[in-house]
Amino acid sequence: MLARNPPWIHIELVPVWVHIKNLRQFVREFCVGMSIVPETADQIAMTTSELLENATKYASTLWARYDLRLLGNCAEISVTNSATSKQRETLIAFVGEVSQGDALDAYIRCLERQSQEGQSQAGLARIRYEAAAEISVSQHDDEICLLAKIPM
Amino acid sequence: MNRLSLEPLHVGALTAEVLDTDNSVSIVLRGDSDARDAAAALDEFLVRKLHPAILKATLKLVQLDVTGLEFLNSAGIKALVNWLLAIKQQQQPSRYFVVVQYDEGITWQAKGLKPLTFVAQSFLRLEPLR
Repeated sequence: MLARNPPWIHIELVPVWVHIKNLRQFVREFCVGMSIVPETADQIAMTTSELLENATKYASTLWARYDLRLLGNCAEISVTNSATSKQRETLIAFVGEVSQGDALDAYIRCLERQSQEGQSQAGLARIRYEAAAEISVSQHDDEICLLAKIPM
Repeated sequence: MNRLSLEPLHVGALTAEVLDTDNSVSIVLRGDSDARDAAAALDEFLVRKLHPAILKATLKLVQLDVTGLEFLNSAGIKALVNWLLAIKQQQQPSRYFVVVQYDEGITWQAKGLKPLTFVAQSFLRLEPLR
């Protein structure tokens, strides 16, 4: 009997730039193939890219686990990676900060502040604004998982 | 060579090129910010090379053509914001206006570029070309 799982992708990878680009393009094509409208497919692909870029900056090892689940009313995209306690604290604080208030205001704050301070968290704010995503973070042992839920 | 005497930037699949228009210049971004150094190189190009050259040429309006830009990551968008903040720091007489020409068919562009209008409210306009 066939399982009635939603369409999904699960992949473990070294989050280097060439893999991030390849996965972004693959995810977009996968979504279009699943009859998702191009705008949402692009948002899912952008979210994939930004979350994986994030994993290159806040990781203690060269490993990440990527999951995409296309549910009926939303797409769930998560990236899990190993991180030091300091990196996990930083990411949790980032998610709390970018999740506050209006999404566009939060994104603009990030863009202007980051431009001055040279740090990065605009990717998460961009996901929240451009994809209307709900972002959450969880941790288990030395792993941290960022989850974005995009309405469809 | 363009009137600003700037060589094009090529980094990974991302290209930034200055082309002459009738009275000014068009900065044309194409491709995809897919390389690790793309955003840093774009930031360097816009803030350290293009911006001083525009000021030196005393241009009052420039175009930024992103109709061929398939994808720009958040670090690349920050490079654009850094450029706008550099313009914002100029006193009014030397400040110049930026018209961003984008493609409505590239779905991220209309929404993704909108924050720029808040960063540079008095000197930037978005203009859909297709």
